[in-house]
Amino acid sequence: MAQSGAFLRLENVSKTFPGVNALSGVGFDVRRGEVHALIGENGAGKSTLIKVLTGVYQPDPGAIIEIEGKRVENLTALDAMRRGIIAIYQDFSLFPTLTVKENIAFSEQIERHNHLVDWRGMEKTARKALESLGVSIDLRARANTLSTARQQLVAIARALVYDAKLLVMDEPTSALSSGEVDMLFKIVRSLRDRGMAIIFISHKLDELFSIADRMTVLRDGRLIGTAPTAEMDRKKLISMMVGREISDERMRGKGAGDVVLEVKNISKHGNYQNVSFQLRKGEVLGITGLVGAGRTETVLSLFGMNPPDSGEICLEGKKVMPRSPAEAKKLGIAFVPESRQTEGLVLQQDAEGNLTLPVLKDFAGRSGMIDFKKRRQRAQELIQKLNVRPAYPGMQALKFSGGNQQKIVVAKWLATNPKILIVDEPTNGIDVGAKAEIHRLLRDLADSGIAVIMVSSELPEIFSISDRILVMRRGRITGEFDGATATQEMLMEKAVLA
Amino acid sequence: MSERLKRMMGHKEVSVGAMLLGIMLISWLFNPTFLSFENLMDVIKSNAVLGTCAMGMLLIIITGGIDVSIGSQLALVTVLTGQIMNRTGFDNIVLIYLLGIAIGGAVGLLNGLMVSRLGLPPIIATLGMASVIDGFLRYYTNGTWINQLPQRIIDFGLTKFFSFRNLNGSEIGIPVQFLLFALAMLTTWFLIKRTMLGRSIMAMGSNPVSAQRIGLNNRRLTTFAYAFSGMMAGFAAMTYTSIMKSVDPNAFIGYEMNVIGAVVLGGALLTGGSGSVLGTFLGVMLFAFISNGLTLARISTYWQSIIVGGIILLAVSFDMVKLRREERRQTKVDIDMTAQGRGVA
Amino acid sequence: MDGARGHFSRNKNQYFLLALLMLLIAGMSLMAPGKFLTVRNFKNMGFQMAEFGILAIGMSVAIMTGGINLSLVNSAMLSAIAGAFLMRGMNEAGGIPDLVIIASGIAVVMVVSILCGMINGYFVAYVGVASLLVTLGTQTVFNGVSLNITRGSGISGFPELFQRIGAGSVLNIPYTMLIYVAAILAAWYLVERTPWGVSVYMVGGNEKATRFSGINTKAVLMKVYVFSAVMAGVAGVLMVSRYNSARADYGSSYTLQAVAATVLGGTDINGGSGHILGTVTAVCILQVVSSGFNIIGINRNITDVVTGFILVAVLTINYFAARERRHKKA
Repeated sequence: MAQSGAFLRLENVSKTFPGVNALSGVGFDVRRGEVHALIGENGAGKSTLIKVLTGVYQPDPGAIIEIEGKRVENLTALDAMRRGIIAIYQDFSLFPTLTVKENIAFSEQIERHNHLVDWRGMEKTARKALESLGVSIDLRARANTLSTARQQLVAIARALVYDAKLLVMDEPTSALSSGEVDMLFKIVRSLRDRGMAIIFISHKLDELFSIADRMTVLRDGRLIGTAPTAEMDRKKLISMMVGREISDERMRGKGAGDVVLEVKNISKHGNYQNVSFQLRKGEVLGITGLVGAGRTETVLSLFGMNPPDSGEICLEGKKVMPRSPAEAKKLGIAFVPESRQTEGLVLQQDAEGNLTLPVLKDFAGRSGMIDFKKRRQRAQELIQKLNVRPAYPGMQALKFSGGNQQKIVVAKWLATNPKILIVDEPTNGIDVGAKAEIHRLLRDLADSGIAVIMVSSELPEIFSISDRILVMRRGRITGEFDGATATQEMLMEKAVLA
Repeated sequence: MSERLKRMMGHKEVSVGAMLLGIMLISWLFNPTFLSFENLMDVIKSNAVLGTCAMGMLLIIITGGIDVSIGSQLALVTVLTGQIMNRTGFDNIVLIYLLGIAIGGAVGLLNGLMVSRLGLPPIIATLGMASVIDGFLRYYTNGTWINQLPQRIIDFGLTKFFSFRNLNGSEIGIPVQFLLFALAMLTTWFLIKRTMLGRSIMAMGSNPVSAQRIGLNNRRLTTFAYAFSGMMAGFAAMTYTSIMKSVDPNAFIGYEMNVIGAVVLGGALLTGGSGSVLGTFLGVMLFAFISNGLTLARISTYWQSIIVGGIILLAVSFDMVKLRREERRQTKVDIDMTAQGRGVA
Repeated sequence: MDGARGHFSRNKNQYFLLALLMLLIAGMSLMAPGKFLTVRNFKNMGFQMAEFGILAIGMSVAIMTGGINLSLVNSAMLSAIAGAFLMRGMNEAGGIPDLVIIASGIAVVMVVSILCGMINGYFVAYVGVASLLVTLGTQTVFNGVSLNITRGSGISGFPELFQRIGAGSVLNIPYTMLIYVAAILAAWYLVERTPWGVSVYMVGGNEKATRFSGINTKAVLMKVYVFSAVMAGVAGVLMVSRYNSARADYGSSYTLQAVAATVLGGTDINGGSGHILGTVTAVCILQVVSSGFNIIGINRNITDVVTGFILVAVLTINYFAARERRHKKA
């Protein structure tokens, strides 16, 4: 079934960014005629690895890249494409207003340097590509009228026209129904049988056991192991994904108080289903799960941005239904978004402006004018309290480091005296030292009486401060654990398996 | 077959065509002479200029840009060529047309360079260009008309093809302007549908990032779109002169709104990446018949501005609402609906 | 004075503008000795600058949120025409005291401007359409309604007292300048000193993050367009008073000039930064250039051309400067 001989071989690949080792000494190979699964948590290094082998990133010196047995130096993106390494990301990069025919065959026309469009040629090429996949899609349909599954097929057909020899598929099934997944797998298998090398990145272990020939696990930028699927089982896989020493102490809280929030059976079509949980004062509730499980969508419903179709939310005993962040703010609910640069901060403005944004009205005197001295004072206080460095309220938010930017976002919400603080991936892209600082900060905030909900994909983070842990999978809560007794394996199991 | 039908219904051209038929029907009910050959030819003749400009504007809108200097371009070309014809008696029609196209093209090229090389937002670049041209024209002409044009131009403007005499003895036929408009449409259609240049512009408008990734030169494509529009404007300007037999530098104030309105009516999205010659043609006709209908019903032409503005507002709002609705319907999470999933509380 | 947004670079910009203004005044005085640096000339400039300056302020606020208001001048004229229409009617009716006529006229102007602003604000803030497209449409609609009322000609026949607004002065200071200063103060207060004003800059910098901070960005935007339209209304009153008639096509060149003044005054065309006083200084600069050229004998239309070039030049410089900064970071 699998033709031997590696198509692509990587050895000793490392990639360092300022403050972060995205990859360390990873070795990896993909053979022709195999489906090779690339597995790992968020931040394990999968996407960095892919960017290296598609030429988007240059690896650190010392790395060896071999394509079809020959060593390649300085692989560029265009180069990789010409050699047949094609990646299909989750957005497919199609031309939405152009037809299927054009999306598939347009690049071929460009390569040929024609001046006139060869419509018949495009039709033939597109038809051939679709036929070789065994699918039929209306060539004249505009790409943005197709379902996600079909758009993906168009993207694959396009890769075939590029004469792809190695196809990288990044989370290809995240937006597909199970029927569409079956369809996709049929095609993937047929491509494999025809000799294509395929890298399949996914969290969905069930699917991987069904489609992959070999599996490679990355963790924290390192290669943990590669083995044929036949030699793997679920337990082994999970322990490879998470089997790290939790060297961090678990910061325990002072004990939780009364129930401050009760979520009763909320559901929203296409977002989350039958979600219920309680939250107490002074506790940190961690919510984990894989990307696409619906965690962010669920907590956004508490912040007025994704209100449920059905179900109840009770804050301190009273039924509430915030319909905008402004309303949520008034109720005492605060939210630190996942992407601090696009959603959390107005980068152009200074720290002072960002820190005092939610409570601007507090600084307006009777004349309606803002007392800027008072505002700066408040900003200074918040900066001191959270130890933001450098302690310049007048410095542009853009110029602070990631960790300090995040502290600013948290600080700005503190000014509102929230009852509930929700943080979404709080230390995403932040270096280790700052991570610990933020964890300590969140723990202290909880201890001071605020109820904290932390959505995170990083298991060590979940363990470091959570009093209780919820696991979500495919829109539902699949498990609830005590922070002190849960293990990584328990959580991962509930996150990936039915 | 029903998939094909569904696909056809999804095309904006169908709804525009339907509206057009509707308007024609209503107009005919009010005034049966409306559908006479003579009247139809008249409408097409008087809207040939608008139609030609719309072809150029279509290309700009496909790139996601906009051009509010079209009116000024028309004024510039009519004035300059009018002066030349007036003062020198030059009357070689073909060369005069080429001159007009060259002048318009030059202005368009400048617009394109400002947008693609200097990073100016299209609205500001073209607003600035309009201002500069208007200022220059006011200085140069002092608002005076040019009334003496060579006879050959006037004769050319009255030319009709396949003509015959009707009952009243007047000449009926296909006006030359119709053929000029058809030429512009054909050229644009060929460009957009048959040349790689046109398709690349369409691709760039659809997804500029992907376009760059497959090796397209977005800058050059953008510049070309504006230059092409300028050439169309130059071509249209000459047609205008042939109809009006005189040059009025103030004739085109606010004209760009009509052009943009017609293109938007024809189904092109102002966000770029979509639009067709057929749709734009239908949009122009729809616009023409609405104006014609208003005139026949004795409603003042000032209502035209209100209607054009209203059309633009409604069209862009409609697009935005549709976009929002689609986004909301997107499923973000594949919810586990199996019995197993539901079993967990 | 710039406590809200203390970037060193922005303060540098303000001083540069002031320096440029002084330089230009000096230059013009040299080029037209005895004619430029006179009370008479400054008084004249005062008359003209007011209406343009108020319009520019209205445009600036819209641009600060990352948008643009192309319908500014058209809403100014529409509201002014509405007021003029009423005033003429009341004046012809006879027997009504002049002050009442004028007050009613101005009241109508304000009401109509607020309506225009609300229409813009609704489409931009609540339907979510780009301001460029909305104001492109409303510009035409407002113009059409204006033309419908005036039938292409001008409305006149106002009480004599009305003319005094646009043409009168006290102690050699034109009333229009006093109104302009009042408008500047109001704008400075609202935009630079109130929570709404700070929100305007925040929305312009990052609307999503501002919304995520619990600010009702829709209300902020609505107020922006109403404010813009009110400024336009005031400018409209000044224009009609100065010309003593109301026509739909007055002030057509002001749109571009208002954008030029905004950009020259240091406001980022993409929104998020700027300063009201910067726009005011830029308005002075443009006025000095225009009057200076006029005195020297350069045709008025050439001045328009020059304004266009200034706009392109400033934006081009900004574009390349931003590119330089990005390259330095990388």
